[in-house]
Amino acid sequence: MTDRDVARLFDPRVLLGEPTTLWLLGGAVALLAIAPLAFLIAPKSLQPELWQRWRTWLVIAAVTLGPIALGAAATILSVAVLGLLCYREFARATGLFRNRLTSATVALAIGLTFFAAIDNYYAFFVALFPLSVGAIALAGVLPDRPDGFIQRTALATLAYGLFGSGLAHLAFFANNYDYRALLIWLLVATELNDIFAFTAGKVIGGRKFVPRTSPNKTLGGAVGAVVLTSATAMPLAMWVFAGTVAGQWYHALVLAVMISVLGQCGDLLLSSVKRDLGLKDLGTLLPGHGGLLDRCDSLVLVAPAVFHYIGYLHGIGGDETQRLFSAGLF
Amino acid sequence: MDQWTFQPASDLDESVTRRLGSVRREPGLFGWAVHALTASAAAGYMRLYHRLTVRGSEHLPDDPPAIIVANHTSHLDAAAITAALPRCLRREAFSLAADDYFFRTTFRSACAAIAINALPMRRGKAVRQALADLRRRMENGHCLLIVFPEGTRSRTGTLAEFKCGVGMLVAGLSVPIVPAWIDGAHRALPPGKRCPRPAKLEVRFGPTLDFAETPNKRDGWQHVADRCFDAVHQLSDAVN
Repeated sequence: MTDRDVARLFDPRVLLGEPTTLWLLGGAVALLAIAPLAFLIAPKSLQPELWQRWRTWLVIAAVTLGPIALGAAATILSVAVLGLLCYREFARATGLFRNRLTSATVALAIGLTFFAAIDNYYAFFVALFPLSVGAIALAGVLPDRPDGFIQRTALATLAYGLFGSGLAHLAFFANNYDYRALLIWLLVATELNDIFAFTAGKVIGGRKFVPRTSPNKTLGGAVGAVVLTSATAMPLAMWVFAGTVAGQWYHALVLAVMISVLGQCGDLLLSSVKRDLGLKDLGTLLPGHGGLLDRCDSLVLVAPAVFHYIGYLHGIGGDETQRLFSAGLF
Repeated sequence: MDQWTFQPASDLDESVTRRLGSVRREPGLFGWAVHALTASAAAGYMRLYHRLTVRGSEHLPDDPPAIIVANHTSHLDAAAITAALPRCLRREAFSLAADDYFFRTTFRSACAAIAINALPMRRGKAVRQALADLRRRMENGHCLLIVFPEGTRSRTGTLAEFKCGVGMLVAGLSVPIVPAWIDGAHRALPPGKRCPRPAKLEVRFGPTLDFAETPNKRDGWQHVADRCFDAVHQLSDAVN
């Protein structure tokens, strides 16, 4: 492991040499600080809920931005914990957690995928998807209970795809030396997109988009979110990726539209899961928001899509040491 | 093709801390793994230190749900019953523990819930609601419950009268009830003592009882309590 690897993984002082990251962090903190001003114009009946949501946002910001600032190891570890907690929530909501062998296999597959991420071992990272699906299917066979085999295997595969392989793309970004600005941009843009969709939906309204899946979503909200997110995330992307191919205005626009559209699709995807289960929230971990998945649903599709787009343009983790930990094993 | 059915965790709407002290608690992978470890450790301790022997295992069902009713003379009782179960049932076993003692603080709740897989038994006015919650849990399956119907540990080691609560829990339920007698626990760790002596323990299981047809009202509750008492008492006579 080179000094550069150690610095990327463990040294938070690298942050001080990244003015873009410092500005982004400052902006995110400032946004959180001034958010309560908006509560002044909200109806009084909504205020207790808004304050509760805001307090939860402070915790979310601390546990997401904190590890990103600390280093790549903390970042990857925290996304791994997020993936496992999201899986736990999904498994408890669907009842998959009662199939312990299948559940343990998914948890192991998620752990291995994040190991591949911290190892910067992309070939293994890619190979783990088919290998994990095979292992999950086998775990469904071993208890010798063919009843419900398809259901538990399909649920487990979906869960691994979304919260293991999908979210691990977020962690793999940390294999770039200058990952901090990129990740903060991605997270801020995704969360802003949620807020824009909610606000535009309330202000513009219009025809119900998918009333049976998510009764509050309107076409006005969806289009408004795309416009507002593009207007915000695109210039930010041009600044964050300045000097690289992704910094071109058209690539920045594609990335911003991608975040908005896929963010809303992820939201709808988890809404469909909730409607099918007949549940309002998938958990209780985040007061005012519901479960962890109610907050992270937008990320599950955005992370792999943005990863592969940026990866196509200029690669991710290619300049850093590959197989950091596994190279010495054999 | 049949419609798929999903069964979300019954404690899904409860916060993490409330879940620890909830009758509806369903352990996830982590809680289950910790309980499997502690139950195996307890089984090892029981077999090595107390030379635990088991009789009548053939009366135990292959899968949950089931309720085991046993005499109660010692803090070792729940661990002795758990250790006497086959491994596949041991991991699914919950024992009822006094809410006002084992679930008084979050820390105690976490220890009781994760390490010994206890479910809270409320006393006083809350007992009816607690029993109703437990009945619902048994109806949904996924649970092997260890119950001590005397309500508290016997100070003398003799079997005390069974409370009607056991009847409120099982009358009208089509869940097998397995009577059990724990022999030697009072010699090993009677109430008031802190350190267990290496006394020999034996757990005897009896033929299952069925109260599916018993009416779920006062007469039925008393009938259940009496039948369970007789069944457990008969097991004590098996040696004495």
